[in-house]
Amino acid sequence: MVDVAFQPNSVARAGTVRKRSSLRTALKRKSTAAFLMTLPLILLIAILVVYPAFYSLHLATLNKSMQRFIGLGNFEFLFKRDTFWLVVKQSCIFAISAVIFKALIGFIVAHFVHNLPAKGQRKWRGMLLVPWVIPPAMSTLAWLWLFDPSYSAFNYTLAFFGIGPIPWTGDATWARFSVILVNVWYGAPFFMIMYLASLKSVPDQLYEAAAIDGANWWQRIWYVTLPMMRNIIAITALFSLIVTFANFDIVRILTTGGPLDHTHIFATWAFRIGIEGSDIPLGASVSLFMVPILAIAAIFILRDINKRGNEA
Amino acid sequence: MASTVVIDKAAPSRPVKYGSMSRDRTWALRWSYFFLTLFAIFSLVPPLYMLITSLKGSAEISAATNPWWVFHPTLSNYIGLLTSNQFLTFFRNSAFVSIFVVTITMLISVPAAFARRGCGSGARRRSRPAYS
Repeated sequence: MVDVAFQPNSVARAGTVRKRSSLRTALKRKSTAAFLMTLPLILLIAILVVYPAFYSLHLATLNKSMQRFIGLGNFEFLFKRDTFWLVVKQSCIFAISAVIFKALIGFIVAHFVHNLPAKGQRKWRGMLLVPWVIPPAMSTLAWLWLFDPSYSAFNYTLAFFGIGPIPWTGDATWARFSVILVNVWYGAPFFMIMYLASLKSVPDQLYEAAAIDGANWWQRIWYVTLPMMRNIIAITALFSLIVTFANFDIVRILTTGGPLDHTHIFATWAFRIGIEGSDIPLGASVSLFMVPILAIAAIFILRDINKRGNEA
Repeated sequence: MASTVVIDKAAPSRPVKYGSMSRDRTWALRWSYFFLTLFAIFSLVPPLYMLITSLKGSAEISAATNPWWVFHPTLSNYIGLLTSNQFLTFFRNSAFVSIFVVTITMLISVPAAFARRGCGSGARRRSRPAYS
């Protein structure tokens, strides 16, 4: 009779088994247990993900003092500001170029590591994974010290080659470059390890067949490796795009938005406006702009995965 | 090798230029090691630089000598950290946070994963891929 109390939870499962009532109750009891076991996770997601999301939606419709409902006023205000469009542009530049370089470097390095004899691979993998293991906030501090205007170790080294002191975080272009560089440094090992895993799962017979057909290395990559890795590449690119788009700590520590807002991305600018500028509704509406952009990216990439899954 | 020449006569003529396979392999390995060294340097520079700088005193840092080398190595920074109460508090905080985070995460996610994977009738359970 305990089951009856939980019946609303197991409606979906109950329809599948009609004939044998003993099996049905057993199944129901199992699904109830399953629901109870997932309940903490569901509650956690509801409290920590769903509620804040709707709360930020609510916040975005308030005025600055958070007392009056102004509808889409915050968005109208944002659309008229040049800084907002600058931030949109910079976020896209930052996320797309960082992800492309991460993926490229990860792909190349994965191939090199895959080339090595199996004995030495662990050592190299360990060394190359170091950037990913260090907390990004700390490694960014190290980069900040490497980029320091007066004590920069890079400028000291470049001076030997006669290259003048580079304003790593002082000039808009260089600051963007440095931020992307640090992000690539931090994110490339993740791609490397994912691509290495998927490289190892490509069956050798395919390469043998390709070699018999006289394919050179470029054709082997283009017609064998890439099609086999397609789904992994798409998924890692999507996840990394989301994480990079929402990146906060690297930009915040390295440039704090940089010379004249020229390295601000959505998260840092939302923080700048919402927390530091104490205009929380405006900050919330800035951060909400990440949702449609990432949703479009997710739809495109995931649709592609499904299509290829049907072909195979 | 005369025999290979005889065999090749029958084949369609095409400029085939196969080198020694083992020699190709050796060169591929050498290039791999070369580029991997470059990438390893790229990924290890910031942590190594942290280590190098941590062994310097303030005087040496502000003297702006060669930043890649320690001329007067000193452990005073580490001694200062390990004897300051503040740092020990922070260290304990980090340890507590990580222990509690891992414990609570496991407590929440292990039952959920078990429910996802372990329940349902036999055929259903077996047919379900591990990651779904």
